[in-house]
Amino acid sequence: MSARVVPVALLTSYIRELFDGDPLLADVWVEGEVAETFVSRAGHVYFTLRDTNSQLKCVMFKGFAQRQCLLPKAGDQVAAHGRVSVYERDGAYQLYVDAVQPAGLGILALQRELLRQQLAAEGLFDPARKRPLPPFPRWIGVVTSPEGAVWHDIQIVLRRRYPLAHLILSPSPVQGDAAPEGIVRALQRLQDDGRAEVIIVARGGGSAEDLSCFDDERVVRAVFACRVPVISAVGHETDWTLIDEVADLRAPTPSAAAEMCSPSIVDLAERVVALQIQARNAAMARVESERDRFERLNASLRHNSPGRTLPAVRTRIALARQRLDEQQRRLLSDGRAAVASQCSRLHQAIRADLNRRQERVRLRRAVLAALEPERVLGRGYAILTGEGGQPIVRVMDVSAGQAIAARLADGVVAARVTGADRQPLRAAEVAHG
Amino acid sequence: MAEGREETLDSALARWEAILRDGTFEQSLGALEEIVQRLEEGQLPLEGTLRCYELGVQMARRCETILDEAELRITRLDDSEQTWDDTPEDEPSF
Repeated sequence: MSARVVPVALLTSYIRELFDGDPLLADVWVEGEVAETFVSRAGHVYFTLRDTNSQLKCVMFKGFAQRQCLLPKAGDQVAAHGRVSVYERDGAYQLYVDAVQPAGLGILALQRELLRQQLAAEGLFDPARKRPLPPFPRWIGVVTSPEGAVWHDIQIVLRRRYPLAHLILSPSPVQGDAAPEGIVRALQRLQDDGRAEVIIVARGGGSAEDLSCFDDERVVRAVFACRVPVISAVGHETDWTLIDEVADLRAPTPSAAAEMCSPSIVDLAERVVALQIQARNAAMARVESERDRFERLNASLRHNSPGRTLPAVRTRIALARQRLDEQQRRLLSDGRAAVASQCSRLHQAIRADLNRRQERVRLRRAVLAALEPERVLGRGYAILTGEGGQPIVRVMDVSAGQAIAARLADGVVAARVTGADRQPLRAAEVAHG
Repeated sequence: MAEGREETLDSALARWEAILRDGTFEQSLGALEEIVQRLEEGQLPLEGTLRCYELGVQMARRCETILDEAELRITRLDDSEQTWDDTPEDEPSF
């Protein structure tokens, strides 16, 4: 060491640089029991990890704390991941934690969980970006090993179910160190080829380690970046790898993936038949409705044809005429009755008039009869006449000594005038009456 | 492509006839569905109905033929530039 006095800050930053330059300290999982947890107002979580004889100060900043399913609490046995660095103000080293998991998981599971959290935080697993699969894919890309049963199974399923498809195998090792790169290249080849409308990335069952290439960040990112929808089909139903999270659709098995990306030819054939029946029924219904319309028109035409309407018209005319006749007859008889009634009234009137006149004649006759000279003579009067029979009405008509005749009721008296005096005499009045 | 509402019957018929000549299965099935829809709407004149029905029958036959004759084909894309194909170059369009 050089003979030189250094300030604290310089030494501390030297130590910090030592820590920060160490690859082991930059990425480490530490297991221990949680003690003394404390959450600051800003949301950072401070705690201590310890075992029998040692302890380690830990801090998890708010952003990391928020994405943990499990926050450390006193007494928990956990594995914490992060980097070890120096906090220069306190002159203390501490673990800057970015993930906490329960203790006892293997390192693979821990690594995967850490990656899962990081990628999820980046939005790679966002359900909103899952793309729908084409309903009738003509070109189906498959990334798998050409040697395995998986490739065989996919062909079997599609040959039976949807032989319309054209499979494009893009081979890749699916386990071992070469697998992640191989899968990434295989995906790229399919995209460069450009025909595949959907891609199945498949592998059969295996140990967690066998399947670990599908947890590889490169593979997950390649699937995320793939321009074509990807179906993941890795291992058995219970196996779950990160590619399942990023894929547009996760199939429990490779055979299931083949089914999920293709319609069934049996369903399609049934659909075609059903459509044919629908087409026939619709066309027949249309023709039937035309026929109905035609028949209605035809019936209406027949109904209105002259051959059919003439008799009807005749009947109507006859009926009308009949009614007319009746009317006429009724009018006539009404007329006659009226005339007759008028006649009888006339007769009656005439008769009444006649009667009245006869009555009047009778009365006059009676009066006349009363006035007849003979009748007057009956009441004591006399009619005087001269010798020539001329009536004597006035005194001057006679002269003394003149012979006159006086007619009485029952005969004539011959008499002689003894005197004639123009005196109003009662007798003369009587003779006048 | 199935904007049937705006499309006249004549242009639809022309389009379906083109599909009948060299459409894919998906196009043929889609056309058949459109034809059935047109028929079921019942808005066509009688001649249009008969023409549609005739085309529909041919379209269904085409679908069935495609399904009957379909055979899974396989291509392999290898890492090296050469690609082998187990089907002839002049493959049918479906």
